[in-house]
Amino acid sequence: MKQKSKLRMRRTRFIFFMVLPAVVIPMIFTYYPMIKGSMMAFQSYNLMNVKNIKWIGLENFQKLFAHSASNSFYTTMLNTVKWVGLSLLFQFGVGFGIALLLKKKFRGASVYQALIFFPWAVSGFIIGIMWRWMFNGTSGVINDILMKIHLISQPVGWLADKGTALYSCIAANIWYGIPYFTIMITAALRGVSEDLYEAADVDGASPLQKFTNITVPCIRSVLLLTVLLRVIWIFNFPDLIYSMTQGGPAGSSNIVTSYMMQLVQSLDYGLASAVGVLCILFLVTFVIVYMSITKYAQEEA
Amino acid sequence: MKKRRIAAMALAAVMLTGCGGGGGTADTQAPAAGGKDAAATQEAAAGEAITITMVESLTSPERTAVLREIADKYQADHPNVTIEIISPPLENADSKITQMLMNGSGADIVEVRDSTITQYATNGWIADLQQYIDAWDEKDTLTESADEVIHYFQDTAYMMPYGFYQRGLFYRPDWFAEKGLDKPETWQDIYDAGLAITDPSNSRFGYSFRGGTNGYQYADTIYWCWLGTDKIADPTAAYYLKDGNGATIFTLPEIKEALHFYKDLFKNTCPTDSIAWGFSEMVQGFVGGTTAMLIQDPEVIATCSADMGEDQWALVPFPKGPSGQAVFPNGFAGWGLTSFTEHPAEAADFLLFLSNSENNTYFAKNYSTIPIHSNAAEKDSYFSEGRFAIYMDMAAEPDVYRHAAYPQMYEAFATYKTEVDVMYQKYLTDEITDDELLSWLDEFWTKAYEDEGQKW
Repeated sequence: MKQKSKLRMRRTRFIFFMVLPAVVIPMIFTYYPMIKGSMMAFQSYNLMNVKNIKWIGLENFQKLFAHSASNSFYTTMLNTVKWVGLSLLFQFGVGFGIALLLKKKFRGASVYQALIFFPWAVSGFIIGIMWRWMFNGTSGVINDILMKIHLISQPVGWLADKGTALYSCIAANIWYGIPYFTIMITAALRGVSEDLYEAADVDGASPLQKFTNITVPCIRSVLLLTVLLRVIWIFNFPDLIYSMTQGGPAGSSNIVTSYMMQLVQSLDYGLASAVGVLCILFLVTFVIVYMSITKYAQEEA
Repeated sequence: MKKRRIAAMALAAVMLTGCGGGGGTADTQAPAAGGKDAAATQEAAAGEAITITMVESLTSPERTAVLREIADKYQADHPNVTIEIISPPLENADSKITQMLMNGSGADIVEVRDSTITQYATNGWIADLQQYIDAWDEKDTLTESADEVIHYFQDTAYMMPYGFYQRGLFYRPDWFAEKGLDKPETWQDIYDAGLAITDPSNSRFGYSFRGGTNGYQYADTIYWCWLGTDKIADPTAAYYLKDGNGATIFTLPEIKEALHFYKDLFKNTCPTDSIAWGFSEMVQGFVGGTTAMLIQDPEVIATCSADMGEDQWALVPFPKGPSGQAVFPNGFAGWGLTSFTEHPAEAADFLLFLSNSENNTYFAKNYSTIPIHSNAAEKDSYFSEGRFAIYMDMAAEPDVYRHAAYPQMYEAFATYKTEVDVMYQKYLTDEITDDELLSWLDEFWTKAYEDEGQKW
């Protein structure tokens, strides 16, 4: 009896030590910094003077939502919705389309595939700098092309106009994000059995029927997951905006995360952290809602 | 494990004998190198091997090479000292340095800029250099500007500048000749010439406007050129009025007039997308043949020489305003000693070696800054001849060419820097009025004065 409990103790201890790293490492490297960082949101934490850090309650949040001429947080939030929504819609649509085209075998398919996937391998900042010069109002190649095909009569300052800056960034983001969906959906399509399509052919199904009744249901889980991950990524992707417009002109192309980067540069870590906390809350809520809605749809199907 | 330890001991032994052998030569060469801090030098030469880590901020491969060259020269005289230069990427170098300083380790010497000195000194991250400067045999040739900057923050010697960035006006003599225009001397000349040259259908514009990051600095210089420096509280805090108890310049009629000029200049002589231009776009605009005039630091001289024909560009003094003065910031950067360094004497010795007349002049010439020693022009004719000579000409007329700068010693400045460009962009795109902008500026700095008191 005693022997047995000793053995069990030893085993428990063994399991404990085996599990320990898996618990401790995320604690130290993920959750401790996250909690510590979130605490800054409730502090006056300014690197201009680290000797004067104090608790200030919700003051940072009040500052974010205050109505004043120099506060552009409301525009920033609206921009974020446009940025995520439009980018996702076109990345997904075009990416899906290309994936369907790549499903058919044709000569040079692998070369074409490699070319399509290429932008995915380049850093976001480099893509941003590249597009910044392409959209340049005086010497940019986009103006040049549009003028040569007589769509515009004189150069447009794409990134300098409050009406076009954000949409120019979204255009660049769409270009950058298409390969992601193409890669994921192409892989998923390879897993769909040809037998199903052959059976559908026998039944005389139209291409559209095959698409809605075979293709989509078969890769449904991949589609749902890629969209979810993509929303989080686009939301957390200030690189393009930061390198193309720095959120300008006059804050008209800022999204929440690029705004946070600017706050970090102003050394006001408290305010930046408050934005970060809002981001986490928003994303967690989004994921919960998204999961429950899609699960509901699954049950109905 | 055991093997590695033996190897480490062997390495240490080699290093020790190495510096023992070199110590003798170092002693004899030290005075020739100009270090008067002989005690520290001797101690270091005789002592164990040490590494001095220096972190730079405004990096470029060319500049790092110049620093390395000077460091190698120092190492040759001090075989036990290894100088390690860390060059973080330019874009976030200052935040990297901030992180290292917060950590309290890993750096002995850091690059301190006019925009970072307040933060570093307030937080107690950099040390007072006074005792080392007092014992330095080259302190007497330091220029007046250098002396001012050494004691920039709270009268304590927190840094040794390596040079100054003063702006000059670059223009296209060939385009000016085409239109029969004289060389520009005042802001009005810039505007008139700009109007004559601007031709959007040919992609030609007058002036390289900066509306993006740090664009406010250009608006500020125009304000001061309109106002003159007599009404300003202090050249380092030129948003405040003399004897004004924290009253700002932004309520004066001259400032409003200057602001209107600034907007007209943008609307009528600059490309529309220059509202988003930063440093690289404005330089590219001039060098690439889009704009006829550019106000920039001397480092652009190298770019122009490399990419433009000799007759395509000229450099003239900073433009004057209605006050008869040309007022611009005397931008500076330099080196500071960290407060936690384990080798303060040795690090300070190298810092002063880097700043001695010979090395500083060499550095300034290769990096296009204005040197800190008054005998630089004697040492190298580069500073008295050619394109660089305009800086000497400007220095010769101190009543006309005057310095003023934004109050960077205020903690509020960090927040200001991230908000102000957006406010100017809103004004330039008619989202807010002149009064709204000026009252925002006035309120911001009145509040800063209330919160932090007089800091100049």
